[in-house]
Amino acid sequence: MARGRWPLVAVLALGLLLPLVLDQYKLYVLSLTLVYVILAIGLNLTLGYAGQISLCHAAFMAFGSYAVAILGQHGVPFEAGLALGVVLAFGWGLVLGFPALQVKHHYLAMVTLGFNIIVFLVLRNWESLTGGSFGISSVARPAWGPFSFKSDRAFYYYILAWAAIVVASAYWILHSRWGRAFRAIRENEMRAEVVGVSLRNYKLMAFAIGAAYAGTGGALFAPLLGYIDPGAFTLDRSIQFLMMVVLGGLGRFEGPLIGALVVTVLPEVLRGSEGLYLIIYALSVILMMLFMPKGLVGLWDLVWRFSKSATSPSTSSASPR
Amino acid sequence: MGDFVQLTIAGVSIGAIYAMTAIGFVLLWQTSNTINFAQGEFVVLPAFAMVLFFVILRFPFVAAVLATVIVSTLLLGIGVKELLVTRLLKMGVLPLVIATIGLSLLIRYSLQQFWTPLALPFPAIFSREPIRLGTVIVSLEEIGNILFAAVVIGALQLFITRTKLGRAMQAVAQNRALASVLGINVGRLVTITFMLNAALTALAAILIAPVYLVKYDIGVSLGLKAFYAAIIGGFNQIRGALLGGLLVGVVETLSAAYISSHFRDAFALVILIAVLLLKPEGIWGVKEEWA
Amino acid sequence: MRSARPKLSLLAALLVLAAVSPASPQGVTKLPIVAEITGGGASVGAMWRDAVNLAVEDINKKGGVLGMKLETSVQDTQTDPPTSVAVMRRVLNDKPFAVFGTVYSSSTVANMDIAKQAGVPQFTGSESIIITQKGNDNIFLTSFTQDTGMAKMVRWLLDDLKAEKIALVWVNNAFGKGGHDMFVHFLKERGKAPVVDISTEVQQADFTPELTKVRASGATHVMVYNHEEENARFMIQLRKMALTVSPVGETTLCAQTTLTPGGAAVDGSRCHVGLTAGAPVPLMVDMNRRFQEKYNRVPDHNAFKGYIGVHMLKAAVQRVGSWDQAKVKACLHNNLFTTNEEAGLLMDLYVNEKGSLDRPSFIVEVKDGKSVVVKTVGMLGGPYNVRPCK
Repeated sequence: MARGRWPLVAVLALGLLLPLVLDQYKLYVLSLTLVYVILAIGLNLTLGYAGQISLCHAAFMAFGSYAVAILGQHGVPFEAGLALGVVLAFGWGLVLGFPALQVKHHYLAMVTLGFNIIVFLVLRNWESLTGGSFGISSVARPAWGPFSFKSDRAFYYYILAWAAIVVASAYWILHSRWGRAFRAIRENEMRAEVVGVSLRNYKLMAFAIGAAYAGTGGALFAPLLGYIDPGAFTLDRSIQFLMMVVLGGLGRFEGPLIGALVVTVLPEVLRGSEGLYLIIYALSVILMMLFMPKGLVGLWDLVWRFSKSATSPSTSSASPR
Repeated sequence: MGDFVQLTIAGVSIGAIYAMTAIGFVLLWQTSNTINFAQGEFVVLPAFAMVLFFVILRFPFVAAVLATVIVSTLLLGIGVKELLVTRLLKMGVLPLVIATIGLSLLIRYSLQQFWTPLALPFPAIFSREPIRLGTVIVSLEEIGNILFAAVVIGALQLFITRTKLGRAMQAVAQNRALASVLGINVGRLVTITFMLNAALTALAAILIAPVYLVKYDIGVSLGLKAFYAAIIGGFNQIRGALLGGLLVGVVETLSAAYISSHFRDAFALVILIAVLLLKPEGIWGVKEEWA
Repeated sequence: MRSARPKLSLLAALLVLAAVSPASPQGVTKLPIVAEITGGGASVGAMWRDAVNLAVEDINKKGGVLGMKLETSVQDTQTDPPTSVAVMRRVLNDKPFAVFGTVYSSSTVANMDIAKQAGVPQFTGSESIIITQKGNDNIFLTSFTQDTGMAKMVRWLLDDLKAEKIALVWVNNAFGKGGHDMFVHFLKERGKAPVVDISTEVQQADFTPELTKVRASGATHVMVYNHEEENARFMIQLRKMALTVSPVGETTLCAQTTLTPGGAAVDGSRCHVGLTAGAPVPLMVDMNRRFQEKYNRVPDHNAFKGYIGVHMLKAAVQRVGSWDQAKVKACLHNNLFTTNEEAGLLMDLYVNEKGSLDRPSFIVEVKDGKSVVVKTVGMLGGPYNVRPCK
């Protein structure tokens, strides 16, 4: 038990201690990565575990961002904005779940894609509510009475707390019967139905929960950046999350963590190549699909297996995925 | 009334372009279950090739077209199929989808970085002189686009239904396992389909370059509209792509003029979603088997 | 006596060293460029970057500023606001004196608070009114915002061209919306409104809906306010439909990046522009020539903005007399800077209390694929005073 847990503990320790030594730039990148991890976990649930293609994750994110930003303008506490954003995202996730019941694969991709575009258009054109193309700036960070999370470091810890909640809840869901049902649906829908899995409810839930996580991520994204406009929630952004989840490893728990880290940090590392890194990034995605379709988690597995065989010759028990 | 006719002609003309892009997309899905997210970029690359051959190297028009089609067929047809598709097809739909998304980004940003981020001018293929028909003004460009697309699509339809190769493609599209048993070399057929798609997108590029101007990002919205067109019209019929393309073009144009320009991109989408929910195989489509 | 000799020889050695060695090592001021090098804004960011580099080169050749040489570096924002924030933070870690960029307004609004927190003056190529509406005293524009630009535009349109019925076609994003709102606002001040108000999308290919509406409205003039490629397509289609309406624009319609793809279709358009390579201003002609020599292409308005921005900094530092960020920022508010004191400014300019500019501008007409200046328009306000900054 403990052996399987220690990487997680190490990561948590790192997460708690790093910000004490990082400068504001690296702290920002780390904060952004955590936000993206939350979003990627949501998409991984919908797509990786339940096998439902969702190309509208950015739209669910937008509900969280705009709820927090708009309510913040009226002095409403951050957590209330987050709650509203999550509820909205969850609700629309359910709605999107219905077409998912009827259509598959590329058709579903198109419906979700269409939804993303429509949400973008509404955000842009409903100026009185969202500020339209001008966006909303100075998005307020959470505050508990006199204590404010305004400083970069304080807000980082706030994000970390939410990330921990999301990771823990995702872990719990995936190890419950929900998780088993999702995996059954992903493997073979017909068989799942025969075995008694109520396809309908679980498909709806896959969308709704994934969307709720996206809403959470969106709510944290807005104050981190400080400014949001509809342009942050386009199809490109949804595709960015898709890349993250796939690169990390679909249907694997660590997948979104690795994917978010790589996608956020890689451009920073490749910064010297001035303009080439988008090309390098695209090339990496193609090469990864060709040679490592399970994602970077595959590499992690190799390392893990290697270290295990090096330390203990006994047979390793299958770790819960 | 004159305006309505004007708008419809414009819609049909741009719809013809969407249709030409959508058809190859449909062919690829049919024969190889490939959802090519890079279809828009498959048009942009030959457009740049046309600039190279026709504008920069000053080949005569027909030679430039030929050169473009050949380059496109080699790179985007054989190249993509052998390097990407053969391996990824075995792994299911999703890895291929991701890879084509990566491919579209690769083509787009390579053109931006290594050629130019600016739009390049392209000479008109058909005359732009205005022809007055009452209050309606058209030019040969609109008519030319429509006719050219019609000819290409008609030829394709004949090819699919009348030639042995075409019928083999149909067989593979309907039931790959069975086709293989019947002696059709499925792998080779898929390669031919990719080559055909590349040739089609190259021809589409010739129509698009004067209208869209040649820029690295014109593939984004074009690819999207092609998807809409393919799905609305019928994902498994060529004439479905034609209908879908025309419908998208006309709906876009008319609704922007008569309803709202702010939601221009939404109208075709609404039809798309309606089709997906009510008749997912498309208006002229045929229900797909559980392949 | 013996103890004196080493001291004497040491003194002699020092004297020799002082005579022979070059002047004391000069300090270096860091001026990073944060710009759109990839993504949708690649052409814009590249122009800005190249011009800033040219300006720094020019200045260093003449000995730098107050004995300090200037040093730049380039950071790419990918035309993505969250990335531009990360880049800005990274750049601020090095404690630069000032930052040059970004150009896209949606990125600038996201990253300008960070520069402000660090107290590092930021020179931007953005033009949107949302930038100055926020009361940020750390940001300095290198052009006018859309309120000044549109004020001048409307004045010219109504007074010079005596335009009667004006149609407005604009791109539906932050840039286009800002221009639209200002244009409509200033028309309203004169008791007028556009006869047609229709929005377009970025990357839009077909403009028949817009053109039929313009034609149906009987407009005499059409204000074309899209991005450059869309303007080119719009004009090509306008000529195809043989519309007789007169095209007018603000900056983008007559920009080189519209003229090149648009070709002959754009001829006859008239625009109000802040900066143009064809300006009959000797200093601008000279900068144009040197830019072309170095980079082999014609500078556009983004290039001019970058070049001028660097010289705004130089002028302010010189006037303050020291490299003091707070004083330089204070100097760059409510102040007039002329080309007499700093030729690199290319034209006299006034920086207002919000950090945006008032400056002479031009009316151009497109003839044979080139923008030809037909009139120079003076500053909107004034007369302004030169305020000392010591």
